[in-house]
Amino acid sequence: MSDEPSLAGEWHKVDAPECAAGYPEFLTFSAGRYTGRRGESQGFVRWDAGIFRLEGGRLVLSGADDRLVAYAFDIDGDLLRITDPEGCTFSYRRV
Amino acid sequence: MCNCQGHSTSGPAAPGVGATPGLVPPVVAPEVPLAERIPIVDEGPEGAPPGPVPIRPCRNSFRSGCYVLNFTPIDGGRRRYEGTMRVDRSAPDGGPDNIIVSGDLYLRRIAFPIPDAEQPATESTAAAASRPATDENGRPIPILRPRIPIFPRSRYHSYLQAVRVTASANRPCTVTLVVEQFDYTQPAAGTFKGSFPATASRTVTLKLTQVPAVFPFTGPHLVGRWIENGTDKGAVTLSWVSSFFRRASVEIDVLEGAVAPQPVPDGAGGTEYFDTIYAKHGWQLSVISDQVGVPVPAGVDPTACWNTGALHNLMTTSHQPADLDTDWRIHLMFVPARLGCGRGVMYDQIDVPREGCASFCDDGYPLSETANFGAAGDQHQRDVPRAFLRSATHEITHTFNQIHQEQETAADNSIMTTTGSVANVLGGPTTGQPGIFPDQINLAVNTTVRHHLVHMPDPVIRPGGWPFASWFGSGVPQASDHNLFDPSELELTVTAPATVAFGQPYEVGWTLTNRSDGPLIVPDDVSLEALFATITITDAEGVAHPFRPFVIVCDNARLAELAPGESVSATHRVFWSSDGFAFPQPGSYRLTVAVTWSASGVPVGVVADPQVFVQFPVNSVDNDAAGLVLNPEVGKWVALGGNAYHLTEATSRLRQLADSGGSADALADNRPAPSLLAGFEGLLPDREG
Repeated sequence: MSDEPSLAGEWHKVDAPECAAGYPEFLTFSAGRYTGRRGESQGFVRWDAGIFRLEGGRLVLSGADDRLVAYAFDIDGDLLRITDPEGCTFSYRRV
Repeated sequence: MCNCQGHSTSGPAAPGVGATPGLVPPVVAPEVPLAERIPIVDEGPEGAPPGPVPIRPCRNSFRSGCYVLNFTPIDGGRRRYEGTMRVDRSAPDGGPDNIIVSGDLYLRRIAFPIPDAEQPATESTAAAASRPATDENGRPIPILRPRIPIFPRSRYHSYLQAVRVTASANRPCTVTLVVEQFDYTQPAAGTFKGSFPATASRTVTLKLTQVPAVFPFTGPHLVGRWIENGTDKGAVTLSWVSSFFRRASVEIDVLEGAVAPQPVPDGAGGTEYFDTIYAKHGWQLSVISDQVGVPVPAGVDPTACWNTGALHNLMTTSHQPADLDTDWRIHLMFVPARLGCGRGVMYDQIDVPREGCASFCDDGYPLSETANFGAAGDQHQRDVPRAFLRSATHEITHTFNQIHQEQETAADNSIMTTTGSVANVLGGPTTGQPGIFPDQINLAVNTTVRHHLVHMPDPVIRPGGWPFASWFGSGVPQASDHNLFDPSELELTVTAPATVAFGQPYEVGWTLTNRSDGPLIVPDDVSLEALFATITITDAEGVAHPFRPFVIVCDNARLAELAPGESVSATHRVFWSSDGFAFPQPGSYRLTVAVTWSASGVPVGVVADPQVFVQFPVNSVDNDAAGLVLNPEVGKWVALGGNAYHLTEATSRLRQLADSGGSADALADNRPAPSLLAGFEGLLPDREG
């Protein structure tokens, strides 16, 4: 059995600073794919739909331009904390 | 599921024919001006009384395609304007008169003043039509076969959006265009995104008359006057040059060890390839197969996932120099990579935007991503030709600044939906069977993306123009992006129960009523299937999901007059869509019904959003019944209106539901009927499949 944490399910963005405005309000992970949904007041989001996987302790995810980017992350219970390559840290809570 | 699949054609496609009908309109309007469908008003010659059928009818005076536009201001001095105007009569969203007209104008300076520019407004149309074409220095340009012109980015002046077209039915053949002009502010030095005003800079009337074409032009040729606020501002000509709306080129290079996709059968005896796919959307895309066996750069493992820097370096070292001010040219590189690299990427957000993209021939369709890849599961792209071609075209279309449809509209079977989502859209009870994915892949963009490709302003679309997705709106949902009617003018009332049993199909009705004193032009069909109406369901957590119709009616609904006091209504059984169940669990929801349309280029609409509470099952009978009906096949049965006996699982479950309530056995046992049964009235099977 894998020790990797499971991201499967729906997540809602919480504790998001201004630098995280481009990440969707809601995330759904299922199998090897994810979808991101904008919040009502959000503009273009860089995570909309694509593939994801956990690799080498990082969350690798394809974005709105299909680029594959690796993010540092950790999970504490139902809280998923992510840090992007620019150093912006934000969190999602499992719904 | 749409009843109207786009079809590829063998041989040259009729430009602009073949976009996948969009399931829902864009959730956010682009933050750039964008021409919309308009009516054509028929008009006889001025002063002519209505009479019998004309014996000298006008033909092709406003033919579909691209026109070269020239505007010579009376008081412009050395300043002239040139550009293109796109008359689109094949847009799926072209409306009842099937026309959308947009254009782009560029500044053109000439070295020496030409006396023509100072001609008074009384110059005859014959003289205006006979002026020789000249270059910037006033010298006649060589006579070349006309084609869609491309002008330098730095000279872009304004976007033109037609809001009204009036055309005469008989000679003299005239066309009057009312156009909103949006003046462009060029980007600051070193940047690439300029700006348009939120509202038109001015409204212009082009009064045009068709005259014989001037060599070397051969198509419709119109000359006339450019009028602002009733004042004649100068001479204007429109010369048809192409049945296509835009042109571009894609240079293909292939890394050593990689392959590019090949043309695939179109099912009609011909083939589909990048150029024919784009021809469906009105683009003339020239494919330049340049290098094969490009050496692998030092230090790069070609079978790993490539980073954007390495791809950009590879592009700069391998592509042919391109002048983006004379050629909309993009670079497409094929490299191997491996499974799990994302199948391709529009990597170029470095320096000059959107010059190139890449596709990964040894990436593919891992079943770990979705089981709906079926027969293509775990195969490499190079071994799944149709899907490979689709994926590479997806990256090309990103390079022309189009975005994923999961974000803009909804996942559908079109090129700008991600591959996994396309497989999921095609997925279902027949997943894995031959003939589903990839065979049913539709090699076309949807209506929304087609509209953008044809009518977005040049700077937004062209390579080297605006950065990727920088045109995207600021997040206001489309309904509130529209000018809403006051209920005292046009009222939308929604009729729906405040509560519904868990698992019960929810009957929703809505009525549009003209409360004003005069007629209003509104959609004559406000059903969900006609696509003017949308439903969004928001759960207690604030998560909103669009509820999409399972079937789309392709006979275009029209805008028609609604008299004062009159109404137009529709109903829908909200239960299941291709995204799943409308109410997947008990609790509180908000149901937003919006009816939106474009009124002479102005987005308008009405919205209503009642609350509904989905009740918790109160006994085992209700619980068991919910378990029976909350099944995707039952969902499809309901979405199809019942009688779908080919859905054997649904037939069986609904027979059990029917037997569980109201039967003699149930009554004898004093068993109550399930609460949700009332919602299946008229839907239960009356035979065994």
